[in-house]
Amino acid sequence: MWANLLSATTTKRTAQSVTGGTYNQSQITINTLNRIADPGYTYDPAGNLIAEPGKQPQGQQKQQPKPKTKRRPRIQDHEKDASADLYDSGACIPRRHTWAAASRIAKAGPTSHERIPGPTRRTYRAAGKGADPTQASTGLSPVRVCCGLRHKWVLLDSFGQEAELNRPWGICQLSHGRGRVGDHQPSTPLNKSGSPQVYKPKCLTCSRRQGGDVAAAVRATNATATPEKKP
Amino acid sequence: MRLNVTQALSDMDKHAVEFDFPVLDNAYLQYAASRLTALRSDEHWLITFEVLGFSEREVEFVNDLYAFGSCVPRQGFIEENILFDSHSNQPLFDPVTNDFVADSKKWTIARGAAVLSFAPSLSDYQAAGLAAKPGGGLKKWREIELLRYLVSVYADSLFLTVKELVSRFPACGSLAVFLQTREWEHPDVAASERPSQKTSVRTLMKALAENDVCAFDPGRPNTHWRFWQSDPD
Repeated sequence: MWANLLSATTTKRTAQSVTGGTYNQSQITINTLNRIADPGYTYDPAGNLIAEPGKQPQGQQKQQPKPKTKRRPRIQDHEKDASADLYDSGACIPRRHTWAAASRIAKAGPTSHERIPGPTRRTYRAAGKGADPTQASTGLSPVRVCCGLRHKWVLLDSFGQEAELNRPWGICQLSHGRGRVGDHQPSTPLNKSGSPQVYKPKCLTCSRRQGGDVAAAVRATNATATPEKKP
Repeated sequence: MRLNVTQALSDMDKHAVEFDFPVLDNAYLQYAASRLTALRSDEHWLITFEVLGFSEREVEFVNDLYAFGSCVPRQGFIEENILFDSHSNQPLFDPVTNDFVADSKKWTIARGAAVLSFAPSLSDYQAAGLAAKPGGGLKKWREIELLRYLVSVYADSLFLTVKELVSRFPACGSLAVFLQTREWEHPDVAASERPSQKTSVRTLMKALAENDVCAFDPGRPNTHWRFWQSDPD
């Protein structure tokens, strides 16, 4: 049987006394709302005690700072933007992810078979502008480019803008003095169906690594397309 | 010289996983030839791989240098060196489109201060393995065929000299050539093979550690460009 409690009488224990020994005196004041009225005690409108002396209010407790972890781009990030540079997108991603992503996002661009026109390092050499123009500065806005898992982040001068991308080499101020090269994103060898490609500058190490990645992806694609016949 | 063979092989494997190890069928570098050089001293050891090829992205004939060793601050890919230039009198590339425009019957390159002209016959190309069959024409004529022809003519002179190699690694001090070869069994990195899986690499490390060049077994050499053609005949 269930019933509603209509009234009740309680005896509040607001003080204690002892008849012998020593004790820590403790006395609190209770108001008409059955709440502790002493300073430092705080209640929310529902009557919940949310703060008391010596304790932080609930909900405002100081949260432990989370350890800072650098977020690696996920495969999905690249799939959303097919033009994302797999190596220069902000952080290097593990090879297995790169490989899988490259396999999935790869589509063919209508001009993927064409060579990128424009001045090359050879042009600059011929013009007497230095044996290695990759050491020169473009004066463009610096960008950060990741040069591989074992390489530190470096501040580079970059083409930076699409208008400046139309050449197969780049400018950088890498501490180790390497040049930069342009690579199609998505990679041309995997581009078989005709979507646009973006040409982006990247450091030479990254370019070579991507070349290896593409070679592996092509192998895998070919192996899937023509599975070996079992005897 | 202290050389932990297991650790060194493990390091190479890690680089190979990241393609920071010579991938002879690299999609961005058409392959012509490669050379392995091992050097050692009482204190240090050094292994270098040079890969000659045509860099499609840069429109350049290059020599990519990879190095592993006890005195290499950053192992893996080290640098590329431009092998030779096009000559203004007879350019190899269209100055605007960068398309390959050299005539297979007569072409010129500039290597340093020297200007070298070539007029190979079909039999010359044949000897270089570039002609389809006796009496037949060139199978293809692209930049990489030009370089493959030069490799057949110049052989080792397209690679860095030992002095040039050593100068790249000042921390190594004076090293002596322990072994140098253009024929060894190279791991098929794009097919997930690892250096440590290859007899050639394993025995090379062992040979270096024991200072016994006879311990090196090249395995079944596969460093000729025919083994790494992306578009086989």
